[in-house]
Amino acid sequence: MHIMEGYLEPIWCLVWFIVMIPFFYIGVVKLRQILRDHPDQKMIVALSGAFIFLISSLKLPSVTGSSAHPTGTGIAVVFYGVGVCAVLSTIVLIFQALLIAHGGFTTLGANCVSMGIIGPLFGLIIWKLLRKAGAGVFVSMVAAAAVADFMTYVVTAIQMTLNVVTANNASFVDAFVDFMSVYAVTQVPLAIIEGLILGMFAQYLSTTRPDVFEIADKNKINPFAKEE
Amino acid sequence: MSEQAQMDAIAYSSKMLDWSPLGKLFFVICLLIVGLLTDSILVTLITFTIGLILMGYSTHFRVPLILTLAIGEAILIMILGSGMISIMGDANQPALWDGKFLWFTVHMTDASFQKAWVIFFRAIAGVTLMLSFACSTPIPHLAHALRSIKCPPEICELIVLIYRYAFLLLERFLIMLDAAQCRLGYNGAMTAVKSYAGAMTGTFIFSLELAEKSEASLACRNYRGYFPIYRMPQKMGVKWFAITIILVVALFLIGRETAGWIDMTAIFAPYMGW
Repeated sequence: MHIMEGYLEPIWCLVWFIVMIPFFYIGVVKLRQILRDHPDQKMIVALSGAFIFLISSLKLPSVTGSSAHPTGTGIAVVFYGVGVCAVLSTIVLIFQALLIAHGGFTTLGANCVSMGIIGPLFGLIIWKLLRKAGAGVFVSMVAAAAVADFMTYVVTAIQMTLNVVTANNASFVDAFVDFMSVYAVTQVPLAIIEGLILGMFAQYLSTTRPDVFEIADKNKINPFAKEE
Repeated sequence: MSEQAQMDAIAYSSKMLDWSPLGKLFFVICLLIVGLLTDSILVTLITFTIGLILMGYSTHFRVPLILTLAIGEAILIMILGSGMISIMGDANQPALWDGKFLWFTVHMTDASFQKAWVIFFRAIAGVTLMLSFACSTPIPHLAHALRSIKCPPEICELIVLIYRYAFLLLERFLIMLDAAQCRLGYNGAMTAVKSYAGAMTGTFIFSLELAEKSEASLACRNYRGYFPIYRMPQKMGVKWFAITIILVVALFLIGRETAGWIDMTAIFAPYMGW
């Protein structure tokens, strides 16, 4: 469901790249810090990236009979925060564009902003709020992953709407309703399914490898916040 | 074999394997950008042809099924995407088609129809260009090229590590999904969700153990964050830069002169009754 190569007007390609850059930069800085302070985390970070690639390559049946892709960023953002998630998502998006012609180079900024930054940011906010309210790992992860997935598509719909408004001088509201209604058919059930799968995954993981979740509780919502 | 593994095998057997990865990347990105900067269908057709020729040359003119399927799947998405663009025209302009289709408000204008076709051809050209790069450049070569342009070494290292682990995870995950199918793990929606979750957890835990082992094994081999490439591809020379710039300028000028030459509305008008 990434925006395909050539779909966006040059101005929007540029705008989304500019939006992506600070998050990407902060992600690289945070990654460097993680790898310098905890060299043992390098393989786990790489695995989280590979995991996003694996999950977002996974085709799940949807109610329309077609197949769609979960985003898989819920877990990575909970473990490492928005900045690192943006870096991992960018790498995964490059692989997907190259290896399975899914997405593109000129639309990389837009796809990274939706799948790697804003969607996961909402997921992280939900995770933190629910954990603070005393919710369990399963419930928190179901909500976080579902919201991250759904918000990714809401942002994608906004990006495509802005593009069509610029290209065709179309009505913003009509275009957004059209794009959102297309996504809603597949993405609402898919977001719920992804939430359930990642919730169960997190539940299993919290019982078998509780140490992995210790990192998750130290993350901050604000990607630009300084580490203590 | 998975799609990713097949692409990897194709890239390593490419006739363009020794060409400069950075040169190829620069060439592809420049052609993608020039395609965006013009509204000429002719330019997108030229870049599509260049992509197709490079892809054919790279694969010894035996384009594998995996590439054909990737292009086919991409075309299907493009038809839907371009179709959406075509029906969202300017409400102040006269419509070729106005009304309701399913739940969509349709207002197709001459400009939106033409724009949709430009985007469609642009997207097809983009896919062939990207696949021509992908089927001739293994990911470790790409990481090496990025390193040479001062991309942060941690990112280059992560690119190679994610690439390596993606194959291992995928292989393990597919085995687990097969195992789930053997014990009727997809019998009912909730069971299927549980099976997927179980397979993911199993894969993740397996890969955590694998990561710990591979970290030790890499340390034993004096790993310093860089996987050596024994058959080094060429560096990007002035030749790559010059060819790309000349081609980009030529395409841009052609695009400026030929915008609107191919009128898709006029082509379709007799069949659609416009």
